[in-house]
Amino acid sequence: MSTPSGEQLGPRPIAIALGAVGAATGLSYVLAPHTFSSHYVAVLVATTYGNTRAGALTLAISAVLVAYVFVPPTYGFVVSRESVISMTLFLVVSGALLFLGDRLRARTQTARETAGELSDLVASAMDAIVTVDQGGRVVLFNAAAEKMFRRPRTAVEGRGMELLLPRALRSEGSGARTSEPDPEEVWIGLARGAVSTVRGVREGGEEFPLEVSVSAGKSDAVTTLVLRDISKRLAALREIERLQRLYAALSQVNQAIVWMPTRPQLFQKICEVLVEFGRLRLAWIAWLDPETQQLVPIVRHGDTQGQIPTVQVEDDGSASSRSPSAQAFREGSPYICNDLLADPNADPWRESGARSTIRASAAFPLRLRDQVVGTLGVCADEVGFFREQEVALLVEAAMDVSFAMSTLADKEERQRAEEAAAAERRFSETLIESTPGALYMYDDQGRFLRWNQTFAEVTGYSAEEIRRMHPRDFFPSNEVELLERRVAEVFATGKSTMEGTFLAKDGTQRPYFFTGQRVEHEGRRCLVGVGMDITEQKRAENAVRELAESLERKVVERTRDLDAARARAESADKLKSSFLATMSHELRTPMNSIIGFTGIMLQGLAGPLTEEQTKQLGMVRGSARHLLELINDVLDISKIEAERLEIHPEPFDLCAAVERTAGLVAPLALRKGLRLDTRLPTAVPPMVSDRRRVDQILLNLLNNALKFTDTGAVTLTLEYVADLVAREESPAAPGVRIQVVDTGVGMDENDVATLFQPFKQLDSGLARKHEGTGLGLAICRRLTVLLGGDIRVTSAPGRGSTFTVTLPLAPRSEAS
Amino acid sequence: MSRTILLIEDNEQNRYLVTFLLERSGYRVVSVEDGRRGIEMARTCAPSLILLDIQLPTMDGYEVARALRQQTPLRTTPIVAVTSYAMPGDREKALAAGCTGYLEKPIDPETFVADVERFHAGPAEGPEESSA
Repeated sequence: MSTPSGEQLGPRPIAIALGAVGAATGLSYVLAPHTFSSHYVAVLVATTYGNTRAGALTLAISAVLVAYVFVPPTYGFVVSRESVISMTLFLVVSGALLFLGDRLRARTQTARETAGELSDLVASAMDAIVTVDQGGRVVLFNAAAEKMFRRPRTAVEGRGMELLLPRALRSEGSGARTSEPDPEEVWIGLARGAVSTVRGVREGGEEFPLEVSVSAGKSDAVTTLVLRDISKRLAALREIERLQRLYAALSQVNQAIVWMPTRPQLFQKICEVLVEFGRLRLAWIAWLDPETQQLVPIVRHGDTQGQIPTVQVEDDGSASSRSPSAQAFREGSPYICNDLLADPNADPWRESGARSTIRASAAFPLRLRDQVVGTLGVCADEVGFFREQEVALLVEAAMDVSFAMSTLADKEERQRAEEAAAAERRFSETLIESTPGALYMYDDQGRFLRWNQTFAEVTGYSAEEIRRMHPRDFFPSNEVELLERRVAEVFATGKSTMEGTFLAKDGTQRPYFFTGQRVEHEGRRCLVGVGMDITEQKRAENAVRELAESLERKVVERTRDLDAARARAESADKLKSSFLATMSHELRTPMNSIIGFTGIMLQGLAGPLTEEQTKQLGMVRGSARHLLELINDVLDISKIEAERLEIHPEPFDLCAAVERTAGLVAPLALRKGLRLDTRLPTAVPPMVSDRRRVDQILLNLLNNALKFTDTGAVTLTLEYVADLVAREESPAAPGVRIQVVDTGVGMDENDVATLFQPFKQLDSGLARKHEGTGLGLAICRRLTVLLGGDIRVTSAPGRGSTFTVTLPLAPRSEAS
Repeated sequence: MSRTILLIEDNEQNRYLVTFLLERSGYRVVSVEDGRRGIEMARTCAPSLILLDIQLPTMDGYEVARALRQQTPLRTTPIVAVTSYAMPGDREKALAAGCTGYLEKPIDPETFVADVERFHAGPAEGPEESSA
């Protein structure tokens, strides 16, 4: 193996060859003429120090010289045998030497080249290479080591290794280093052939991590350390670890999203995951309270000191509205604050508690269907914690949470909808089953799709049977046509009703009333029907009809009866009227003669009478007049009872009427020795009433008073009353009050109660003592009522009686 | 004016009583027992006053009054109804039929002539007073 330079026959190999030949020739000449052994040495030297071609050149020149100089030719063309042998020997020995010299040169050159390359390698190595001697002193310190430790080689070489790797040199357990380092102790912790990680110290005291591999030389004289600064690699590893953590957090977040069934649980889990896996100090979720427009923290995890401030969402300039959360909420994008102490927007944080360890904060909007509804807030202890990847991952977490919320909301909605549907279904079921009738549904082919329990119970068929049956199977054959007509009507017009006989499996027939309604069910036209048992109703209807019929019959009968009765009554009425007329005429006509002729005779018109005759005729006339009074009373009460009495109102002077009536009864009072007083007001407006009836009332009252009074006086008082309420129900109107007070026998309560009833006196013991029909007061009462007034009496036995008559000044119809 | 009074009265005793009382007071009394004769008599005797019973056979007093009033000479002659009816509407019916006045039976012999003379003097208000 030759290097390229050894193969070429350049000036140097030629010079070496020529030099070697010259030296050998000179040497041969001086030392041993006619020997050529020094040329062997020349070939060897040229080959060794030049190259193969230099050796070959030396050999060639030496061969010529040997042949001409050292092996003297015969100067002919005859060559001696001896010369040939010498020459051959020379060539053989030189060739061997050439070969040997070449081998020797190749080895020497390789060794030299290798050493040079190693030295270059050490000098230019990327890794720091430090060689120390047995005493731990640095003997070699390459460029990379200078760079790594930031120390020049000159400052290190010859100094103890502890300058560079103080910790690695410190013996575990032996405490402080002894004055003379023990060689065995120096490399504790650095296993030979293994790679260890130690901390180095740069110029200025900065420590840094480095990896060191230890290799000892063949002798134990030196130890070479290869050192590599791994601070960057460690940083990269840390970064990888950090990212892994963040991805783990994100993955946990996503797991939480998958596994947490409710929003509060999800939020709590997310905060936990972010704190545990994301190396955050604190994570929380704040939610917008729509009423106060504030972000209210609802879940948190991590640092439990202090309060998470509730912040105002709207930008009102307040510190709270500028907080990271509020800004993130408003902007809909993350707000990152990597140096909390330097960010004025983090005031609320600083105010909210001495959270000395927190240095960075970030807030991310949470969305529910594109609407920002809350924020995810996180805090870390490091300034600058939120770098690109963290932010990206947290953004993704926030988005995932948003997505989860929407999904959750959808799910909740779906759940609610399902629950509502289920409730609706239960309600429908309940409704269907609790309908007090047979409910059923069949399609337009008459296939039963649905029916309630009542339907099954009433018909007595099993579900299997009903499914195979047709609606017409539930009706007697004579009603099938009607059924089909009504069903057709339902499908044509939407609804119909039918009264029919519902046929059960056991042949029972019951009257039912059906209502049918057309509905669309799963794309088919169907009929929903309700059948109500109307047996009771029918029965009731029949009863009502029978009742009505019998009632009608009865009404007809009663009407007939009543008609007859009315006819009878009418004829009786006519009879009564004509009877009264006849009685009036027939009774008065003889009285006319009796009274008339008695009067004539008493007047002496028919000739003079004896005293006895005059007395007896006077008695006749008295009796006749009494009889006439009785007749008149009876006729009057009869007429009143028959409602045949008519009122003829006319204006008249009541005072005059009172005086005239008093004059009429004055003879009777005189005869009984009674005082008769009338007390009249100075002025009473003219009265409009039936004068004859008023007279009749006054006369009856005075006669009655005089009749039942034996001693004392009868006093008639007339008063004008401006606002008379004659009877309870009548309105106030001007009227008069007539009071007749006597000092007679009086009456007890029972008598008073029946006083105004006709013919009462006829029953009492008074009848014999006091003449009269007893009709006078009854007539008075009826007349006062007819005239729109009233009559009352107060009395006590032995104390006399007071009759009070009130009469309106004018007939009611005119007064009102 | 003559002092002839036509009395239409079916009851003989009443005819006698009234005739007696009126003649005693100087009147000439022509009496008939029914309406038909009364109407005839009124045409011939030219009475200054007619006393008419309402309760008459065959033709009642109201008809008689209406018939009398249709005769021109009797148009202003006072016709006084004398009746024992005293039933609702009697008075109105009598006045509506053309009677001048109305006296109720039984008559009072002491006041009867005076009552009659009040109508004789000329058309007066209705009947004044009879027995209660």
